[in-house]
Amino acid sequence: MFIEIEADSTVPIYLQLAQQVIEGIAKAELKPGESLPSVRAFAADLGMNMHTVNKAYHYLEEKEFIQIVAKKGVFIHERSVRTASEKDTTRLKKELRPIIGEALCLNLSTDELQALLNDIVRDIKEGSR
Amino acid sequence: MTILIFSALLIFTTFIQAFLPKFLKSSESFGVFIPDTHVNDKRIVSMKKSYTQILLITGIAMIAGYILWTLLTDPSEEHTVFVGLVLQFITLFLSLGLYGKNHVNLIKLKKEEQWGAGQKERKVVDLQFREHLKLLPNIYFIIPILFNMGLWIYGLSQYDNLPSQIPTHWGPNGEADAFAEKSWFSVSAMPLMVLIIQGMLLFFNAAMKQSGAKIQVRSKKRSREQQLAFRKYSSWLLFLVLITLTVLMGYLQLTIIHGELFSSSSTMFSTLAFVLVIFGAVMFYTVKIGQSGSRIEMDHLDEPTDGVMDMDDDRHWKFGLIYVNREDPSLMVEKRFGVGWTMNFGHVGIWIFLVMLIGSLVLISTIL
Repeated sequence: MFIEIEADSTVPIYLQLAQQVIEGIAKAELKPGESLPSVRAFAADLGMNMHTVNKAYHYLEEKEFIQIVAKKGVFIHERSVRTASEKDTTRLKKELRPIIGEALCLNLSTDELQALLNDIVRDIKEGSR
Repeated sequence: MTILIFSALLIFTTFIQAFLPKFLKSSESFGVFIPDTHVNDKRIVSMKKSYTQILLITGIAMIAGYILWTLLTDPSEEHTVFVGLVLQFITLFLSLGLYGKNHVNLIKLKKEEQWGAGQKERKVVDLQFREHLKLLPNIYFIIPILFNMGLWIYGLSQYDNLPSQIPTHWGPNGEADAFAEKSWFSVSAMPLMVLIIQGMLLFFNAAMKQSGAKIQVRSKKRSREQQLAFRKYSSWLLFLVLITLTVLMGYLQLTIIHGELFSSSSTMFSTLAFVLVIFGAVMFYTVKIGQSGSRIEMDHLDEPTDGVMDMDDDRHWKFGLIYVNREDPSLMVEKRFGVGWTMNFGHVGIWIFLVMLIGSLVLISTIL
């Protein structure tokens, strides 16, 4: 799977990395147990600092999307596709909150928000950005 | 004989330098990153054309003059060698000068006309690149190293039977023409040198595995296939050099130990065979594979994409020739103006490697 990083984006690079890995999992391009490149190799491919990749990997590990096994490598978590636990839902709710706040300022109705949501789900599954 | 060797060398350098732009990818011209929208810019095309023409015309004129001069005046051997070397340097400086002029002009042009403005710069990574990468395993490189060490030990075990003068250099006719006093060190010098070169080749192979893949955003699949092929053939080339070098040097080591078994003509023949094999392999590598595999044909793999371009990394390339990037953990990177590999001089590991390599070579040659 290809990952594309935009240098001048307002989204930090480590987040771009993490978000694209998550989308890869969501559309099953990255399957549970599949291995990801080592921090060094990934950073070399990017031509960027290893800290950036490290940060992305820790972010993904915290959300239980990947598993970092010492001396063995980095793998897509066996439970990366799962039924959301209470902890997952709470976190998602918290992360969505500012976006919904923004939507309310822009006077989007619940229906319009719902339509937006459907759009995004379709986009992710079809792999368009 | 001398005039033949030097003319051949001159012809070789002239043609390699003159036609180099033909073996390079279009996204980098004279060490400058060129956005896809400008790769067919007429000015770049004519720059490359005139680069080739100037180098060819001056090169051929120099070679013709050189041959004519030796035929007419019948100069001494030393003079022939000296003039041949001078012409060799002139060719190299001329191509470097022309490169520099084009490099500076292109950078100016790109800046003034803001090439690539309005396009998003993107960096592409293939998450499975290293799973598909088929370099020869480092263990293959260990076997010739062990072979060399075996010969080293064998040479030392025969110490008492060795002649009191150990050959250290061989002339073009295959006869040894320089010697050192017999000592434990002079008997070990050659295997030690070979070991250092073998270690260097092993280091390159290992470094290549970690080297960052350069996947182009507008042709992701094609550039990935080319990158994989380029790296695979690079690894094979390293291995070929390792094997042939080990065999040739092993042969020379055996002639030291058992001089009576080998004739000087077979020494000459094996050296010549070594040169030809390496030369053939390098030519194949340059012509068939090209820079980053750009000469391997692979069409219609990618859907055309607009509005994006590869990341401009000009700032990491000093003069378009020397790569310095402290952030990048790659030890080796693909050359920008040339086919092959160069080092990341922003990486401390490369400096350690270079100090060790040069230090050990200097040490051996001073003790000897």
